[in-house]
Formats: sequence, C-alpha cells, structure tokens
Amino acid sequence: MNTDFLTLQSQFTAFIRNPEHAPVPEGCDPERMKLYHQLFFNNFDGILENTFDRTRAHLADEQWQVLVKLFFSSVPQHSPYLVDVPARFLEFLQEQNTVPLAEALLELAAFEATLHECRMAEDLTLPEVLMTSPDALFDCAWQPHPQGVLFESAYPVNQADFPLDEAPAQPTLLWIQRDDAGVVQIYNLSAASARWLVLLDAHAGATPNVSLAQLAQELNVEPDSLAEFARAQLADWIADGVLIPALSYKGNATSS
Amino acid sequence: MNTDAKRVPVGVGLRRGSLMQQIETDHPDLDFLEVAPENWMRLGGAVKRQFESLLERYPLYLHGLSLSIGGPAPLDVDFLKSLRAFIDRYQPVLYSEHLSFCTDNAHLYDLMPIPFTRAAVRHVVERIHRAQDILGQRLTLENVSYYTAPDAEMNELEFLTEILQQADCDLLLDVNNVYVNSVNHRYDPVAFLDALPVERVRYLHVAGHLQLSPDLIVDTHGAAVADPVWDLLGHTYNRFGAVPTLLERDFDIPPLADLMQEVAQIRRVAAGAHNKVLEPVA
Repeated sequence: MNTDFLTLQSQFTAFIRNPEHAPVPEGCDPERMKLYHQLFFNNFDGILENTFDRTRAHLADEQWQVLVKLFFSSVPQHSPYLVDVPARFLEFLQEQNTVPLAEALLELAAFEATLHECRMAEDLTLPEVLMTSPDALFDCAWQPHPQGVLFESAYPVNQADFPLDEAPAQPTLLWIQRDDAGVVQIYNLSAASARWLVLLDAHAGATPNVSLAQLAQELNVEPDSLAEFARAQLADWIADGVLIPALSYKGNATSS
Repeated sequence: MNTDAKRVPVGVGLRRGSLMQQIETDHPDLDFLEVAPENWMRLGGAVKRQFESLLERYPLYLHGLSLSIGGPAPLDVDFLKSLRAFIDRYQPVLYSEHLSFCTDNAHLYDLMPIPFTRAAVRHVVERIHRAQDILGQRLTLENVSYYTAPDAEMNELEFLTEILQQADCDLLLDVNNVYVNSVNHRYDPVAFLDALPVERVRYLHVAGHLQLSPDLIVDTHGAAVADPVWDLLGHTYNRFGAVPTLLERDFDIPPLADLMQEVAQIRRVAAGAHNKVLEPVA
C-alpha cells in the first residue's frame, strides 16, 4: 500500500459524508462503505427527528431526507457533544434555500430547538427562594431565571397543528423553562407580562417597582392601576421559579 | 452490591428514561453502572440529582465516545480538560475509550477503524500519551467492531497489540466485537483472544448484534447477546479471569428484569468458566 493513513482516513470520512460524490477508499468494500454511510447518517437523523418531530411531520419524506443529507454532508460539527447538533441544524435550516420552508415552519423548528436546549441545559448555582410574606414581594429585587427563555413567535408554535399559512393578529409570547422535576414548562405570556419580564431583567438590581413604573409609562397608565396585576403576576412567577432573587442585589433578605 | 470475591463484577449502561427510573426504583443487583461521559458531563436539573443519587449506591465506570484517539485533527484539549474535571468530581473506577477515530476536521459521532499502518500506530501512541498526561491516568481502549477497512500493512491483532505495547495502555476487550470482526473479516476469534496480553485486559463488554448475512454482522447493541458470544465469553473468562464486565444495550432496551437475566447469565458463564478460583481484577 502506498497511501498514507491520514489520506485513507480522509477518504473514509468523505465517503461516509457523501457517498455519491466521493470514491470508495482504497481497499474498502463498496457495499460495506454504504453501510457505514447509512449507520452514521441514521445517527444524525435520529437525534434530529427526535428533536424536530413536529417540524419533520410537516415535511414530505423526500424533503426531510434532502435537508438532513445536505446538513450531514456539508455542515461540520465541532462540538464533541451530539446533543449540540440540533442547534446547528436550526441554523442550517434558517440559512439554506435548497428546500424552501415557510416562515411558520422555521419558527416551529426554533421552538423545538429551544425545548431541546432547555431539556439539556446544565445547572447554574442559584440561591433558593425562601419567600414567606406576599407583602415582601415588592421589597426585594428579582430577575428572570437565567436558564429560562422568552420565546416570541408570530405563530402559536406551542399549539399542536396550528395553521402554517396565516399568522394571527397577536404574536405568541412564551416563557420556556425546565422545572425542578426536569420537565420543560411553557408559560403563555401577555404582551404586558412579557415586557415586564424584559424590564425586570434590565433592572435586575432594583426592586420590581422600578420596572413596573417603566412598564406603566410605556403603557401610558398610572402605576397604581397595574398593582393588582403586578402582585398576582409576581407571586405566580416566584412560585413557578420564573423569577429568582436578583443575583446582583445585596439587599435580598428573602434569599439564601 | 456484590460482596462475593469469587463473583465477576457486572454492570449495565445507564440511560436516561425508563431504564434509569427502574434502576432507581428496583435497586437491582448490579456491581456498577457505566455512562458515556459526553452524555452526562453537562448535566442539569432533576436528572443530575438522580445520577448523583445512583452513584451513592453503585460504582461508576466511564466509557467515552468523542475522544477520537486515532483522529487526524489535533486532540481536543478543552474537551479533555472538561473530561478530567468530570473524572475528578465523580471518581469513576475506570475511564475507557475506543481505539478508533470519529472525526476528520469535525465530529461524525460514530466509530471508524483506524487504518492498520505503522505510521498510524505511532500517531495513536503519541496521542495516547498526551491524553494520559491531561487525564492523569492510563487509558483503557476498546477493540472496535468494523465492517471494512482501507488497505493496511498489519492485521487488526497486530495493530492492537502493537499499540498496547508501545503506548503501555490497557484494553477494554469487547467480546462481541471480537466475534463480529471474526465473522466480518474471517478469522478465528479464539485465536485472536489467545494472542492478547492477559495483563492488559481490565474490562470486558458483551452486547447483542444484528447478522445481516452469513459474512456480515452489525454491532448494534440492540439485541440480546448471541449464543456464539456467550461461548466466546466463557473462553474469555478462562483466559483472563473475572474481569469486570458490562452488558451493553443501547437500543430496543428491554425491561430491567430482562436485562438482569442476561446479567445473571454473565455471572453463570464466569462461574462455570473453569475450575480455578476467579479473582476480580482490580
């Protein structure tokens, strides 16, 4: 044999990635190389089908095969962790134009990728919430859980079988977060609630009254008119773990 | 837990989902659990707490997937450092990997045979030394199954034993892979086992496979262990002693009770291997 082993390795992987455009490596059995291609491709296809099962269901088999084959053959994966592949596939879907995808389908894929990310996320070390009195809610600083995701879509992507061809008048606003039991929870938000979460994050070192005042100003209403909404919303979010004591705030007597 | 010094230590692979829940609930008579560190290194939430709870009851073995010890690209030092941190934290009994490559300039997430050449031996030996330096421990590498391989200067056995000798590393002997390769590449599996250095074998794997044709078997880990592999396992215990043994099952995982029947079968094979007293390998 004359070919160096690095070249042989390169031939081997080139065929696995794209058997239609790469020669069979020297000395290898063509049929068994096709088996290698199929096994490796199935591994990619498996994690993508699991992650994007609803997106997949909207596509014809041929469309899905074209997308996954193109992704498998042309997009290098630099992470040693297979669970990172779905995020790369989402980027690929958003950039490719070989199989034109409806905007709604791309947003559904982004939603499914977000669920996957939340499911697989590492832990952060966070303070425990020891709230007792509802009156204390506004005396402490809160911030959205750093592993939660505020997800906005023109389509109700969290609803099964939503129509792809027409966006509703109002966008869908969701907070997506893994709970203590490991289950990914999805909370529907109003536009005001979503905006307040953004403002709570922006003013994480301050008590909620600061962000609430800004919200009232943006909505062109008196802050007092939001008091009932704010108290109920704050209590719910804290109970659900959507809000945690602000990590940058030193005066939180209610966290440990 | 296994307290019988004459009994071979047997474990199963820990998988998230129903198998993990069954192990948590039933506390089966297993001597260890094995995980792929890549699937557990970035754990979070409830599954992390469950994992750590299980480690209070069962010793841990690690079996890596992404090291690509025979790969052409430079070793991923950041990954190795993360792996070292994981090992330091969870103190596994053993960390093993595959004598294969799974990358070119990027990951393919599955195993390919390293071309059996002398240059490749030198390349792999150098990388084993580097990986061992970063991990602070000897590597234990698995003989992998393969279906076809490029032109070569050596056969599989020569390649494997040369690396074990030059790198001074250990062997995870996958008995199913020996059988699969013996069929796929037409050699005598018993002669293959008999040619391996006894002192290097630290860990065994057995698994099920899929026979596609008389001369082609795919190493699926998706079925019960086949009869010829049980026979070969008996010969393995005869030659190497009561080496800790993993029952590998990655697909179509049956109920835990069915897996435990195979675990019991492994123990029976080890117990009946021969008359000499089996002592677990440290």
